[in-house]
Amino acid sequence: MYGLVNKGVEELARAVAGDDGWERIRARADVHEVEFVGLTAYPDDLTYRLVGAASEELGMSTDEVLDAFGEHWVTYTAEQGWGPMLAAAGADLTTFLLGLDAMHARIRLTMPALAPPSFRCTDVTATSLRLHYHSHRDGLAPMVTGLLRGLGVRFDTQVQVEHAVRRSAEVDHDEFVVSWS
Amino acid sequence: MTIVDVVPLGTVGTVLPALLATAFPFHLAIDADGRVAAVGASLLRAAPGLAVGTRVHDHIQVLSPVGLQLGPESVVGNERSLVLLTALDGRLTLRGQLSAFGGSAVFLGSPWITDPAQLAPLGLSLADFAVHDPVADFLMLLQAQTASLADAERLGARLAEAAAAQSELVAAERRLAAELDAIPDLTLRLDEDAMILEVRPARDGQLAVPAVYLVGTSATQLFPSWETGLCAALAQALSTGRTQALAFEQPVEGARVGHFEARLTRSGANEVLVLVRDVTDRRELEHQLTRQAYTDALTGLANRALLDERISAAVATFEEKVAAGQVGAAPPALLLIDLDDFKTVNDTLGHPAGDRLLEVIGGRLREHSRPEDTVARLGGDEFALLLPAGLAAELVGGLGDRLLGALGKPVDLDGRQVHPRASIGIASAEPGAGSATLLRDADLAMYAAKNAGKHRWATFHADLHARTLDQLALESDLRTALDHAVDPFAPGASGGTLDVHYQPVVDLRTGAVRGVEALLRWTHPERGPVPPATFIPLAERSGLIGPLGAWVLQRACGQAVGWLRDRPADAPFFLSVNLSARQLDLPDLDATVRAALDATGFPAEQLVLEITETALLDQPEEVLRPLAELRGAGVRLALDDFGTGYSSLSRLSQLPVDILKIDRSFISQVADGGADTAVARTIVELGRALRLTVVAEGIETAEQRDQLQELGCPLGQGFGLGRPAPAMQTGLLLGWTHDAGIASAREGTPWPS
Repeated sequence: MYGLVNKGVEELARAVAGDDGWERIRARADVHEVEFVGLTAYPDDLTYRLVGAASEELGMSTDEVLDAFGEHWVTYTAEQGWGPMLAAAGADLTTFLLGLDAMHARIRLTMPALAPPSFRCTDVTATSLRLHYHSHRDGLAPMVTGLLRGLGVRFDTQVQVEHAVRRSAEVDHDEFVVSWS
Repeated sequence: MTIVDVVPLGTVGTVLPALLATAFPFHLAIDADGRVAAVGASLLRAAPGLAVGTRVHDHIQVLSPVGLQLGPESVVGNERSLVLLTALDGRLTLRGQLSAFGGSAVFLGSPWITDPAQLAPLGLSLADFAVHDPVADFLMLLQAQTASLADAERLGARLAEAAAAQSELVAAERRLAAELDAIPDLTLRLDEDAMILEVRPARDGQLAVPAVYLVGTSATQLFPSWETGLCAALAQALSTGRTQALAFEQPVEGARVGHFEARLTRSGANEVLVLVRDVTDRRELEHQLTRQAYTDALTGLANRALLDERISAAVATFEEKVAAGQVGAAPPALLLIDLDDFKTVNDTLGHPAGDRLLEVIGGRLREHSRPEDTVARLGGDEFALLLPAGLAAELVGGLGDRLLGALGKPVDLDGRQVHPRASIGIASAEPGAGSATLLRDADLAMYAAKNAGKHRWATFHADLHARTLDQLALESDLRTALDHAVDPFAPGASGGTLDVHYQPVVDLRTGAVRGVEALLRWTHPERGPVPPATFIPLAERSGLIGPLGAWVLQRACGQAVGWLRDRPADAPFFLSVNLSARQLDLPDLDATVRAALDATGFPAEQLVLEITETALLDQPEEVLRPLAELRGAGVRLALDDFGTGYSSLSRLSQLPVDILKIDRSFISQVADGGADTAVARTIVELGRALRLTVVAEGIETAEQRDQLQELGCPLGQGFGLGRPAPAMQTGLLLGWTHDAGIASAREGTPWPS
């Protein structure tokens, strides 16, 4: 994953556990980088180790960590200079989610090592939609729940997320029913 | 499907073909009249004024190519030009190209956006751009680069901070190294197991081996005596973060013991900085100062301060035992030892000899003490022996005698044999009375021994204290009485009255009064007349004897000079005034006598100063010198109580005396013709041989008077010849007439031979 993701994990860990807590997480994850570069690609394993170490250090499950990270990710990327791009991607939740795949596709042009997930919307109504989440990575679905909640905050919308379909041997992707009022 | 397929050329209506509209959501078709023929939905959202039918030039201006007029006729020749349009309100810039289509000029392009933030004010989002539009990708690229630059800036700032921190760290390390070099300590860095990580000796040669060889070894090998305390102190320093102090001793340079102090400070997660300071010199100096503070420099014995501490400790221990119910706990005992007449040694043999005597006495006391006892010199010639374990009552006498015997052995001082004598006061602590009381009691006992005649020991008992209090009260009253006598306006009622009485000294042949002896009398308001034997020693001990003696002299001379004025010119007369032995020690005796004579006008040659034989015989030459000078001025000296002091004839002949006064103890039996008669006769003959006037004291009967007259004694005094009387009666007596069988003073000379 790109360094931006790892930086996001670091920032969340520092906010929750303090600088010493982050150092312990880093040591526990056996991560020696003291500074992540946002547009540099790092091995996915490093990110997984950080998430695992944070889970142990903070006494949370990995799903809880990923959920929290997903929610944090929206505000974090906005603070890291991607806010205008997020704004350009849509002024409301539906528009944003509908353009999410396109935005990832465009980002991929700039960040060639990026292997972004795919988000496809169906059953779009004025107050809900079904989000189809495809990823070549395992276990990151809880992060999507957090992401959707974070977007709700961004668009000042009360969002309910239901993990309707879980990826399995029989189903190749996760589905979330997102509704708002 | 193509545009051509759907819409035939030249048939541009109000709507462009769907494909064109989808592919170019920012398109703009301008007809030959310069009006909007068609507009893309996205462009219309960004520029709502460009509705179909409106004049394009009212809203749009051509930036490039310069001079281009928007219309069908302008397409030809500009098909391959990059056309830049701008909205007249400046909010929007479009980039694209022109094509001719259906009689209209069609602008195909999209907004030129360099910052995604520009979209929102235009009411646009990325979704308003055609998917193929590179502007959206360009925006993403710019955003990525901007983010990368921001990342790089942050990273640069972090690196700069880190570099500054590193630089500061290096500087701090240099400072620390300099400080460590500057402090006179051995510096160690130890890990949690006391393994040496680094060692810096305080000076060259401090370590027996090069420092590098010690790295990796245990600090306890370097300082074996650390074994017990170091690990605990290390653990404490690491766990608490607080600096730990450790003091230890270790043999250095052979048998010498070095004293060290270590301070342990956590310097890392698992390491501790240790500063080891050699404080041997300081510790030895402290010991030396402590020794000096608690030791008498002359004798090496404990001094007053140390004795006080030991007394307090012994008394406290005793009282704890008593409080704990230990029946039979022996109270600590204290002996105060004061040398008798030590001043004489100093005066006659000099202070160095006196100091040596004190050293000898200290040594003897030490020899007669046990290890747990404390021998102290309190100052001057006063010593103390503290027995913390106490002394059984039946052993007190034995110890007192033993000490007197040991101290009394002769001491050779510059070839002179001195027999030291001492008075010893012994007291035991009383439960609850405290240490000060023990010292006071021993002091009282010592003075009791002195008063009882010196060279003896006395134990404290409760009466002694009461008597001492009584003596203190009496001393205070005497002082008040003297103040009142000197200054009649001073308050003096509580002290009573001082007065001088006079006893006549009579010519035994004629009965004529030849002189008077002044005798001080003190009448206490409550106690009545206080005997001189009571208040004179009190005055001597308290130092009142000086002013008291001066007052008596002044008073007697002043009264006697009046009698002299009234007497016939040829009537002999002398005034006799007693001097205490203590007055001889006063440096101003000579001046005091002369001042009394000068102030009163009493003639010196008619003044007799009486000094007891024992007091005078003990005095060194320098004490006798003022007396000799007074004698040279005409004052006569009388040796009082003669016969009791074992004067040698040679010594007697050297003394500056003119009169011998036979002690009254020889007079009471003088008429019996026995030994006392022989003594009296001998003294009379001695006086005659040495050309000294002899006065017999204590004559009470006519037989005694007659016997003495027969022996040739010229003068006498006593109740049988005349009792002491106040000045007024004495004046009447001296009316220079016969009275009560005493002959007129007109007859004879004052100094019959």
